[in-house]
Amino acid sequence: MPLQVSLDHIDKVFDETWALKQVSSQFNMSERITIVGHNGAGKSTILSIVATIMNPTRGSVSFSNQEGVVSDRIEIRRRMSFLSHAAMMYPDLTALENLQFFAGLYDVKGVDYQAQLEKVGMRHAENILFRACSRGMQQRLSFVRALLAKPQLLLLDEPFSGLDHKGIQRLKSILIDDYEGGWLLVTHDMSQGYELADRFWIFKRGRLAQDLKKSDVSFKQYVSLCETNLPDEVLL
Amino acid sequence: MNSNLISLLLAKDLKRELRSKEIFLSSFLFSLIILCIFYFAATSSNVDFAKLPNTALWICIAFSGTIGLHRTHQAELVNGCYKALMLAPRAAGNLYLAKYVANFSLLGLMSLLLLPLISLFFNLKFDTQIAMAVPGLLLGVSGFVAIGTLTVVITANTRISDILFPVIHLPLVVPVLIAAVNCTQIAFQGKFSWTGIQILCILNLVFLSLGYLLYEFLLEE
Repeated sequence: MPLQVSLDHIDKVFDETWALKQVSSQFNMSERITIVGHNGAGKSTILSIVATIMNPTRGSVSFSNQEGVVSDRIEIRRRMSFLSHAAMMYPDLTALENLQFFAGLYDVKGVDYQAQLEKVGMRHAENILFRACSRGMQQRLSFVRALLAKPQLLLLDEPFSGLDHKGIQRLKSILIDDYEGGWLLVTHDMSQGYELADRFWIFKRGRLAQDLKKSDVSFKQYVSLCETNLPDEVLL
Repeated sequence: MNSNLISLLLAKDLKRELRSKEIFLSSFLFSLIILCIFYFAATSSNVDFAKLPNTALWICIAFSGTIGLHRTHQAELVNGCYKALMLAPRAAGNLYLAKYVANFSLLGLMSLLLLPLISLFFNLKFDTQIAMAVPGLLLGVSGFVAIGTLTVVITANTRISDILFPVIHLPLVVPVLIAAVNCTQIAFQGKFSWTGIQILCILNLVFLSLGYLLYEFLLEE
């Protein structure tokens, strides 16, 4: 069963800079949520906090199922996978060695690596050193790494950066057709964000300014909300 | 202790190092340079040669080991790989032990390779004096790495990590260095120091336990 995630009045301060202010929401790991906002709005910070690798300055994030609160971080991390613009793969290992390493790290058995690589059009590159791969190839391999453990929740931070049009279409079709879990997707691409979500979080200067369901807004309204500025008294 | 995780990280680090050779080569060459400087300084200044091998050996290990540990961690930070380790569903203590074993293997091997050079430079007998120094040497390196694996993470997120790491690490390893230096000094005199070995075992146990318990707090951003 996918876990329920509760964000309760989360603040995050780096030195004297507020990255997040009073962010509260709830979601199920099976939901598909797009997070949009300008640079520095706190989108990546909220992903790191949900991923349990960053503690909020104030407030809390909690995970629960029908039996109650799940506090075991290992159990929580087993259900999530992170894909960001940093590939999180070792440059001096081949594509295949990297995937084997991460399968071992997540204790995933019986992986058909060739089939996984074929899905993203990288079968030919299994023995190429990761550092010798182009930016787009690295992103595709990183995508395979993130899906290896069949996570319930994908944390996607600009997952399509560096990909060509064909690559984006291929990865989008894997996400929509093959992957069964939910995601938190951080993107600057409005149309992609709309297409891939059931729900939207619009962040403005560290605040969760809008929490909307796709059924409630048209694309035009969604774009307009993303571009609306909040009054200063709300943001300060 | 999770042996699968240890063998996984060890295999990955060794494979990476065999391809890049950056950590081992830079540390070993740095040690070789230090040994040469010691040798030429000693021959030109009438210093008692018998007292030097131990000093030279541990200065090599302290400095090149610090460089090596810092480089290993920097290599993990490339492409955000360390973040992937932090996100893995593994107990942080087990990750610490696995990183410790991988670092110890590289630095332990480098320090063992220094012994023939020490023997050559300072005319020590390989079968007695050098062989007797091996247990103290490896235990000393183990303590050095146990502390270094922890402190390198503490300093990694700072802007001046390359300066801060030796500044924090070297004072912390003083107890290990004192015990290890005494142990190898006695070995180079052809005797065996049980007391030194016992002290090093205790220090290793203390620092490994601390690392195992504290690693989780250090991994958080």
